[in-house]
Amino acid sequence: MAEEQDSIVLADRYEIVAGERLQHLDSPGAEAFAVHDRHEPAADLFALIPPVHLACRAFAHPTHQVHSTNMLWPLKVGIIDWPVSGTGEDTIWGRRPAMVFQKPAGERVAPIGKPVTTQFPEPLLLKNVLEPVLHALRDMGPSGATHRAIRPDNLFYQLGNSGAVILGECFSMPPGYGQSAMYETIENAGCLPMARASGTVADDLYALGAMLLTMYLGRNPMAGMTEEQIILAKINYSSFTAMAGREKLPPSLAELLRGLLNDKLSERWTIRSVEGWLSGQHYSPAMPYLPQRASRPISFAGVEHVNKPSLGHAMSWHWQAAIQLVDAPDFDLWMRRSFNDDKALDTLQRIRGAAQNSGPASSMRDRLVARTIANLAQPGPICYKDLRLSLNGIGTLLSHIIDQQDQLNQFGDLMRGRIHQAWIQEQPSLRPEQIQALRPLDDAEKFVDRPGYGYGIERVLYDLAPGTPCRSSLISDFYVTDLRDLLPALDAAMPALEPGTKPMDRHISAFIAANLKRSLDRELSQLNNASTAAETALAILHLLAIVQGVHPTTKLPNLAEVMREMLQPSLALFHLASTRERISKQVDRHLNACDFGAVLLLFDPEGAARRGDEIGFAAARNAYAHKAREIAWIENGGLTDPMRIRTIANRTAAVGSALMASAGIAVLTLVTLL
Amino acid sequence: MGQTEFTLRPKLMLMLLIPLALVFFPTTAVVTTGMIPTLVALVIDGSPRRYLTITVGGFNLVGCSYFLHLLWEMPQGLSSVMLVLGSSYGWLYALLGAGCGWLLFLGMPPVIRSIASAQAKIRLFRLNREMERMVEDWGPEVTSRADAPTVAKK
Repeated sequence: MAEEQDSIVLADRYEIVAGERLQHLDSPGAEAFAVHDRHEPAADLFALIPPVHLACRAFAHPTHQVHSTNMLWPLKVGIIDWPVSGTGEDTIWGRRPAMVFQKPAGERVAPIGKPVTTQFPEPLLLKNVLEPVLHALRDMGPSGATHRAIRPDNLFYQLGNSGAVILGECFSMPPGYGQSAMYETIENAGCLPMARASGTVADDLYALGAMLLTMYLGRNPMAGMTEEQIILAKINYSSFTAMAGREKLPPSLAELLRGLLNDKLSERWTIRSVEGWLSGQHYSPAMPYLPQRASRPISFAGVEHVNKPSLGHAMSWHWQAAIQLVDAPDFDLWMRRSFNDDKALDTLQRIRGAAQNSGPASSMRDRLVARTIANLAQPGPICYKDLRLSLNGIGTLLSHIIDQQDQLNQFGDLMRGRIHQAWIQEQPSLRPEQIQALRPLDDAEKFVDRPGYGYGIERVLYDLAPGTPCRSSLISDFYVTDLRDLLPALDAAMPALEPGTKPMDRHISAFIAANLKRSLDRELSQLNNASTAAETALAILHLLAIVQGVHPTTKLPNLAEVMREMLQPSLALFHLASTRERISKQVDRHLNACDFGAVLLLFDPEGAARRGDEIGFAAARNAYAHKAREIAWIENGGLTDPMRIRTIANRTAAVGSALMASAGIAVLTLVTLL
Repeated sequence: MGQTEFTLRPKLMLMLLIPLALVFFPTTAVVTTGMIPTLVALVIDGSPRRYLTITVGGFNLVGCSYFLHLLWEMPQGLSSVMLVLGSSYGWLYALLGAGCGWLLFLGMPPVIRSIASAQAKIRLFRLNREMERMVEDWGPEVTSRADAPTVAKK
């Protein structure tokens, strides 16, 4: 039984054995497990289980369109049931993304997190490393994905422990997550590992250049340097010079590396350039791209900086010192006099003005530093206090820090202070993938400060990071990335939750709002303005019914049971007892069929049931009031009023007398005539 | 209650009654004399609708029927009138009739008051029962004022 529980099947084919870890195949942040192929029992496979709180990159690209023998490419990706905790019958199951790969037949070129120790002579380097990796990058083209994990410890030998290599997997973690600063461009190296851009193939080629250099040397040329020092060295000397300037390289290899490690994106070699170079073409050496040098250095955080990007990056690593720097007169003088820039003063004044006007006074200095860095550190990340992120990595970073209140507060301040917009304005130009990120950012800005369900930082998360699993504490173990899976996950989660738990929270409402193709403002406003349990239940039912309408699902018995309990106060919205009883039976019938839409119709304020009840109630209230008035009139002597009594008595006496007279005359006449 | 105008219809009635009264002069004379208590009631009746007059008049007229019965069995002439009006029994009946009318007029209010009290109790009972049923059917909110906002039942 335990063995059956440990084995989880993906796509009715791949049995992933949760109890059989393959640590040597782990990726940074993702754990590897053994896999048995039901169709080909002899196949040697393994599965990677990425973390549950992040969007899995593999789902964002058509991975099935690519078949590469030069890299670990997922044979199948999907979401599987997964034991979250406990063992045997006490196992608690959740869901996780999973990717199945062919096991590499060879060893890893370098242990995970360790530098390469074997030197690769140039001919072997080109034949066994460059060519297979180049093929792998070309193979990835149709998927539209970038690799962003090209480094020696993500290379495997095709066989044994020598010869040609294959590239490791790239989808388990966000782009560039496992890369040290040496393998990243200046712009991405400054970002937090979770906040790097997916970039383009140019970023992969840069990493390829850095990897070729380390493999040729058989060591890390920047060993002993901190990430900050690596970035500053790349800025001050150019990437190629910083990494290979002191090494003796063959001229041909130097030409290749100079092309691949070019800091100017437009001049960096492309796959075609490298293929041309491999076939014997030669290119004129590109001049290193260096920022304008200051006439005199400025000292900051123990380092003499001679250009703006260097100072900007250093400021992003030493925030408190940066706050003091921007207030110091030295900084203004350095900016004005060291670059022969007449407009420097105007620029600084513009930055100060924008910082003052874009948020609360308490964080003005932080905004000033952030905007100053955006102006100085080009290329560089968007920086705010401890956060350093790329424009395309905002969503991924947010999904990582959403549970870390301190960093989340910083993120909120960043959005409110429009630091990202300041960064965009300071850029001389934006790349296409950056332009694509602008629209979601504009939308997210509208929500960040809006209180209530469906808005706030949660909405920003799901808008900026499509594919991010819903982080609600109710269903966080179920890896719900698609609205289709939301209701089944809620249904599965309900039995384990405390009685009375509502199947709705800020994350779920934001997830629905972000993933639905139409605006939910009206329904969210109904939820946010609900003041009674009845109104809250109906608002929640409304959202669930919308989701069920978009993705019909009728096997939701637990969720239906919870809604049955929640809707009891809502039944009291019907005033007439008999109507209430009739509606209660109908609600039970629809909930037994798990039809939330039909239940919602019964409670529709404009529907026949509610309208009829309301009209009847209004009439009943009027009738009751009328009766009450009548009682009061009677009790106040309305019927026994002396005037009324006298009038009636007089009239009665008169009528009686008249009748008596008529009868008397009639009798007299008859007697006389007879 | 506005004062009744002396319009064409009463004039027409008078124009018809006066000749009739002249033709049946003995009857007119006997009735007029026998209805003297009613004339007294008319004088003292201050109500606009003359309920006292009508009540006394009705019974007085019934009382006068004895005079009329005697008169109509005699030849119609002034001698018969004097003879009939000399009947003490006739006056007894006429005055007794008027007295009954007066007593009825005076005795009716306590009777009506008793009836009204009983009717009030019955109506209160019925109204309270209906209101209790409404509360059972519609809930206690039905007792709130119609212009007050509806409060959902918990």
